[in-house]
Amino acid sequence: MNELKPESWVDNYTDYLYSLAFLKTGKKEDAQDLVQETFLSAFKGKDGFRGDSSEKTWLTSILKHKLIDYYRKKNTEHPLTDYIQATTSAFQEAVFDEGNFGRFKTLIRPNYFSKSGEDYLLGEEFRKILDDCIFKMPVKLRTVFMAKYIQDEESDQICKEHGITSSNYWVVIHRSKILLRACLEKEGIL
Amino acid sequence: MKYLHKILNNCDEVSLLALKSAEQPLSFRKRLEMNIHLYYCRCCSNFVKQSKLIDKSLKNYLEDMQEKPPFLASDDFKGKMKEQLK
Repeated sequence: MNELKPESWVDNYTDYLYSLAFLKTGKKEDAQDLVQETFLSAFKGKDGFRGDSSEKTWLTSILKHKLIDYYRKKNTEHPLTDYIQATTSAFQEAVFDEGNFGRFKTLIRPNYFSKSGEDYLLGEEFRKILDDCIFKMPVKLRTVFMAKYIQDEESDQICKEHGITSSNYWVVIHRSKILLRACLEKEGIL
Repeated sequence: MKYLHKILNNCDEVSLLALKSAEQPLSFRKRLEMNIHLYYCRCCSNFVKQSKLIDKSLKNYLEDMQEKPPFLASDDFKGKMKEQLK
């Protein structure tokens, strides 16, 4: 049975929750607000904690719900769909050769990364570069990318939360994967 | 001829389909076209390989984030939080 220790929340989880919120919003102030709301909701609702998950998981799920509200608001002002449409041709032109049926403009070769083992991929050096490259993604793409690959959410759920169709969802996933891969390659990893 | 080009050269569509196929089944025709392309196109087959490695490297990302948060909140903010949680 897990117990809550609110007196140690700030020391144990602030940076973690803040990092997650900052990556998902791209804004320092918004990230702080979300962490604050998370802590306060958790504190108020601490009697409802049943102890079947860890404290960290519980706090993470509260933040996740705060983020859902955040995107709902954000999406009414700046729909993700509009962003995708507005940037599609620039992205395609940069990456693919439309005159040649859409071939990759730059060759993708096997490389250091392809040959490196799991030890390296899960090691510290790689993690730093991965952090950098994730942070370099446009935040609109990153938030969907993280939901899928880092937070392990279901696609249907992600579409609903971000107000996008399944086909736009795949456009975002595709673009963010291409950008992340290219960044890792540029850093000499790939 | 144009159809052949579409199958052999359309990295844009194929790299997207390859990501999609990891999660949901493609139609028979799409899958066939994708596999033909992947067989001939080194770019796309390398893309798919590297993409899977990236997925692997992201598996423990969230878990590890607590130990090594990539960003730190200010002490000011932490102090304020401590006050509010009393």
